[in-house]
Amino acid sequence: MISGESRRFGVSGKLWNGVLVMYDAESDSLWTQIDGRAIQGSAIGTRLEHVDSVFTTWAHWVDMHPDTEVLARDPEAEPVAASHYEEYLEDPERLFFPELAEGLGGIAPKDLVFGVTVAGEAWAVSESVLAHDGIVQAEVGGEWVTVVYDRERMATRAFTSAPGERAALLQAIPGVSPYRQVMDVATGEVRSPADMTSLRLDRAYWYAWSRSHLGSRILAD
Amino acid sequence: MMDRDQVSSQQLALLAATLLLGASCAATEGGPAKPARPSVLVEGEPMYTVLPKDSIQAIDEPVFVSAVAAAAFMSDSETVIGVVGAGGTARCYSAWQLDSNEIVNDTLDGRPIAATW
Repeated sequence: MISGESRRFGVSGKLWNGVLVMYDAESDSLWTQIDGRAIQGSAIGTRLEHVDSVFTTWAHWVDMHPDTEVLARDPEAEPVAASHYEEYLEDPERLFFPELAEGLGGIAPKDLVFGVTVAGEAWAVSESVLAHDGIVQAEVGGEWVTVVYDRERMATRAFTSAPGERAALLQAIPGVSPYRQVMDVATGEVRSPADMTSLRLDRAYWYAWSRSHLGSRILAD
Repeated sequence: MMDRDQVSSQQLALLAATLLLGASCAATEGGPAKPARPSVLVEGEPMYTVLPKDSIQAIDEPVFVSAVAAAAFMSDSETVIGVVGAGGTARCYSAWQLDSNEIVNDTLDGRPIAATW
């Protein structure tokens, strides 16, 4: 919603920084998908509010939410057996525009990263580091940010300390997914990331994240 | 949660699940991407027009089925965007299916959201 009115979004057919550009039917402004920001038109200066979501497989999602509703499929349509973009997704070299690979600070353009922005400061961690460590912490924009990863479900979550709360050093508990529970190193207290102040976390290729967040720090191998 | 420095004073729209794989110009599966023409520079970066507007059609009136019914067409390894609404409604959109639509305009527990891929 913008100024209390909901808007309908459509596909503009444009790409910016290699990322989907949407238009809204009400003002025909253009919006970048990467952080829901208007980049052209009368809506410039507004940004869509982020809704927490999980990107995982059907098997894992339905296991977590057996009562889930599922977007229906047109019974007349061809069966969907795989992503249309399988080759693009699987080929680490393949890009829509070769120039997207330029100036990326030595990180491969198609490394998957998870990024956060706090107070205008952008920071990202590669999926390979997250998959290895399970939990990563960093100070971003003056806040203490924690990102946790569930290796089995590939699910991720980012959170920050509540206002006034100390920056706790957290660690994974052996045998427990850090996505569900972590331990406060100082007190031994077990904490659940689901109960903490969640932070928007974007999953993106490095080329898209870094171009859309110039100067972003990156934690990678 | 919003990035506080960027929040405008206006109320903002709701956006679910941005998965930033920049997919929309590989519509010619297996073949080279269509030649793109740069239209304008936005913040110093070129914005390319790769397809006519709406040639990929967003879903405006989504229909949902139960998990049991969906088992008939979903594959275990199929990637999904999953969200849980304020009222506890869990809902998912197949990313494989969204390859063809890219945007779903939806309402979840009374809140207008757009799922984008």
